Amino acid sequence: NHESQYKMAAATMMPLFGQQMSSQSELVPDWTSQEVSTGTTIMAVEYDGGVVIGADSRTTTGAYIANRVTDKLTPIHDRIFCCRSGSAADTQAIADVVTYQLGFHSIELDEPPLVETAANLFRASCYRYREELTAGILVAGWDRRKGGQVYCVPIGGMLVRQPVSVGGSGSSYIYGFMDSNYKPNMTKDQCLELTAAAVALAMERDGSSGGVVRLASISEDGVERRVILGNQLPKCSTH
Amino acid sequence: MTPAVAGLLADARSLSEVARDEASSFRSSYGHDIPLKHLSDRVAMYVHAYTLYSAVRPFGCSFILGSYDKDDGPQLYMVDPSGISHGYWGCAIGKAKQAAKTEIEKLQMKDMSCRELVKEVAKIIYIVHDEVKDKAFELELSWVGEVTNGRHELIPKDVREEAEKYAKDSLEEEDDSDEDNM
Repeated sequence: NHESQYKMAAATMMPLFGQQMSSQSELVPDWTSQEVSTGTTIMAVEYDGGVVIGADSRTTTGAYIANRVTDKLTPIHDRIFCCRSGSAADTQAIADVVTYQLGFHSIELDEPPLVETAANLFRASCYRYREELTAGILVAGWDRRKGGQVYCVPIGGMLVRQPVSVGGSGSSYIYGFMDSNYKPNMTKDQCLELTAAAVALAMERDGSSGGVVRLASISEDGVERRVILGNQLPKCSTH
Repeated sequence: MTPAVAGLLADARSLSEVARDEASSFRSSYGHDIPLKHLSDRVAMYVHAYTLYSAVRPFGCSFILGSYDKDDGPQLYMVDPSGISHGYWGCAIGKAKQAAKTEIEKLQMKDMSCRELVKEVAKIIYIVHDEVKDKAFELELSWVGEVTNGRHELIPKDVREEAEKYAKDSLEEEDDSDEDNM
């Protein structure tokens, strides 16, 4: 039965899970059948003593911008955040589950949780339900043992730690920028500048990314959040 | 991670398996080794559960857990049949635990190295052994610490022999000094 479902899906060119193709009548607008997506550009950078994370603020249903001031930087615990990309519903649901699991775990241990633990909890959900989910997540934070850490949990449920990572549809446009401009042992302010510039560049080119740049820096001392509005964005090109 | 046990050996083996499963499941879920305090709490909760129902009997053994890692340093926890769990600088379980505890309290553990403590521990085992009432015994020594990079290992033969010799010599000295006192 499972096999025949696959064959049927291939024959009719319809995906088994996720969005349906817009083969509907003209009576219903096509955005009603398209999933809400955090199209997105997200980024996370480690520095000595913490991490810097950044994201755009656009949520789309098809071509319509459902939310132009989205907050894609979601707290999971006091010193651990995640950057969400992919399906808005999926990432919110996963983040809620992990927030609960991590909070419970932290109370059991009676100590602040490790970033690695949070990342593993994300990976567990994303891998187990990989067929049903569309979620690309960056887990970043600070803990006592290993300091600032960034873990990448892309679609499919892999887990890898990286000193700097980008994600979302807009990330394709800034891999080159990141590879050439990131250097190890940068200061917090250098990381903030790099992240803001990278996200701004991606927003310029990717239709699914835009709005404002949200930034956060996480360290032993706590979390600092800031927003860079449209007119204050770093201007990189002259056209 | 190291369990040392005293009491009904069958119960102790069963409890060791429980501890192993807990540690393994934690590592699988959370991606890092279980903190010793948490493992001790989980084992203690398990032991305590067997004191709640008349259909089962409590575990007939005490359980000492020891570990070393570079972030938390050395840790020592003990679980007893009531399901209580505490952290310790030094502890003893088994038939002569009271006498052993008294000896341990005389030690300045914070100032001593692992190798020195091995000798003292061997000495205490020999001291509390009652020649009349107890059967002959075999001394088993193992350690976990910076010296073993956090792995639980049997103490190497040369260290063990040094410790046993120290223990036996100290006993003879005490016997001699008993004779001198009138």
